[in-house]
Amino acid sequence: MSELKIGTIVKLSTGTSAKVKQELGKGGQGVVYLVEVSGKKMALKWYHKHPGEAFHKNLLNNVHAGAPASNFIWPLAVTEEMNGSVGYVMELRPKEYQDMSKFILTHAKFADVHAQLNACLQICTAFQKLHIRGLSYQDMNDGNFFINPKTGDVLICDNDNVAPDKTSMGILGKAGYMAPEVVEGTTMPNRYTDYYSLAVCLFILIYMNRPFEGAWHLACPCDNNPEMAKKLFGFESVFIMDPTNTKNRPVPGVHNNVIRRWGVYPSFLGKAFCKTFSSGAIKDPTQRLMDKQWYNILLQIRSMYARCPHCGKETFIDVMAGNPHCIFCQKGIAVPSLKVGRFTIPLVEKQTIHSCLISDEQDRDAKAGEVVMKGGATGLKNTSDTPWTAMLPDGSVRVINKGEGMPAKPGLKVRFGQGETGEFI
Amino acid sequence: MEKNNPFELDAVPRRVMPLIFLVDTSGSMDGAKIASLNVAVQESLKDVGEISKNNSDAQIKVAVLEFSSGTQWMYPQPIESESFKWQDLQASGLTSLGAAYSELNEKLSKSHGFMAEPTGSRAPAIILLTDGQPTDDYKHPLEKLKGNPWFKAGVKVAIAIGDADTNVNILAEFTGNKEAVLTVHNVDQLKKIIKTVSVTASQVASQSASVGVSGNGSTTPADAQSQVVSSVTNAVDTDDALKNVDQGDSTANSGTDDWENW
Repeated sequence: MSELKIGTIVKLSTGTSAKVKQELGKGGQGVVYLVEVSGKKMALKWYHKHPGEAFHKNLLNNVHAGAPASNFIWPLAVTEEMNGSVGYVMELRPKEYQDMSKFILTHAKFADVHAQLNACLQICTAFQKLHIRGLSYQDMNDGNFFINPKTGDVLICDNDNVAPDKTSMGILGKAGYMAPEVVEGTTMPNRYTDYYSLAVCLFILIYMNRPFEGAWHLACPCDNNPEMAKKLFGFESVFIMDPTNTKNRPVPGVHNNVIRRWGVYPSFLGKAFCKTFSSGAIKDPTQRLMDKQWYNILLQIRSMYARCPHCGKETFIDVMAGNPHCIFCQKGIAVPSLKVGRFTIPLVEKQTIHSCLISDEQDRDAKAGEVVMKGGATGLKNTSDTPWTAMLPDGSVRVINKGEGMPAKPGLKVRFGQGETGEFI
Repeated sequence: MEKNNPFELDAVPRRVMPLIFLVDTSGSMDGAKIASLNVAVQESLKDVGEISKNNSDAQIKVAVLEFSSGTQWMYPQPIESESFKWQDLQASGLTSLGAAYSELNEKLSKSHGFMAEPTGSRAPAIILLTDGQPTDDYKHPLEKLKGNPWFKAGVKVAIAIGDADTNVNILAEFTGNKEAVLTVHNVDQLKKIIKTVSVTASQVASQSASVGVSGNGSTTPADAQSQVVSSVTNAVDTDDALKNVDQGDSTANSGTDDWENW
């Protein structure tokens, strides 16, 4: 029996050792213990059975390479063999973080839309950083994410299957999150199957229903019959909001959240899901949206979440769709907007202009400017240390330093330091 | 809550997985066997309730069918495992296993049985507990039951209580494989195995767990039945409290039965 007794000391690849203090949980693959390493409390995942040499070696490689992003609860050391098995040490999950499955059960809820979008953005950047290193995660599902409901901060666990892309670690994934080609058995998990699972997780976090569980799924009597599961989640699967195939639509009274929310979020978000879950992308993984594309879409969504000038509630002002209206008071919202690079930002009072929208700033939360009102007219104020250059229709220019503002008049252009040039429309 | 709040939230719908106990309440079960069974199942249901509460994929509902000279469901419909109230069973009469199979087959139906949940159903986990041989014709009802798609896709485990009268082969016809038949020889083993099997079957049958490549190297995920069997086998092999339980054809502990004076 591979399990470790309390008090056992296990040697680590880093030369230190871990002392087993307490069992924290048990899963299909192994046991997680609370351990002490050089006086610090950490977690040790210990496998029921030795996972094999290749797996062990891959874990060691990951330890040496280090985490691709701070969101990953990354293996920090691998243990030496004991009782016929091995394990790895990682940081403990802080108490304020909740399992994503708790959000699905509504035992945990996002404090607000800001937290929700932050969680989605963090997931996208974390996986982008993982993929750009040539790795794939292989088993993305609601059991791998710990999310702080107040802030939307995300931690990603179970990183032991992370491996160089196209290298199989023996895991297939979880039903409902696995890409169709994995369900059908035509390929093993890889970067493109990650993109599919990522879209499933984002869809659930935003619309709070599952993307392939609608009327057709309900009509199939038994979803854990392997043949039936293949049909529902394989090449024949149908996205519940597929624009042309309506057979798997959400059912009123059952799939209420997506029915309520589909029209609330800007329509280009829905279109992105329709594209990534289209029958074409189900069969051709290269048609799926990549993490970076989701990231940009979510940044655009975040920039549109602002206070309604009529009722004062936060709403989505989808200026790209034309005739935006408040999701609460339903009144039309006519505001100027700033078109800059790939983004279009509605300009309502006190709205923040984030640096990442106007430059290559990596910190998503860094602020560059704020929308201000003067005598009923809308203006943009520079709150950053970088001077802006306003360009008037007559060709003259003006420098806008920190603390200064400019009118947001159609026809006016503004260059944000060395970054993008925006135009008011 | 705001009126017409577009961010109002319902829990994401979960399919319902019935956990069904078929319990032999014939006369020979009287005494220590039925008494410890009552305690063990009641205790196990607390764990099952916890699994159900924390499972984002499926909810577990419980149904209990007792069979002796006739059959009787504890409640007419499956009940949420979290709020299930166990009623102590009494033992007397014959062992109408065939009648139990017929009754189970009736209820494993979407149109007139347990499988008509509005959020959809998942194939059941069925645990058969018996200490004797059937006293009625069980062959024909079992044949019919085996044609039931819910039964086919479900997880089936049989617990033979004592080796004196039970027949592993008869129970293996029900489970589909001998490894899913477990023979216990005393009340401690009975209690422990009920807990192990209830929890394992509930976990595997209710969760869309991460799956690895199956043992034969194919990429088809292992079915629920073989996952439960391998997990129970692992428990029998490694848990000291279960080491004298016989699995399948094993008769290693035959003759060690002790059911008196508990």
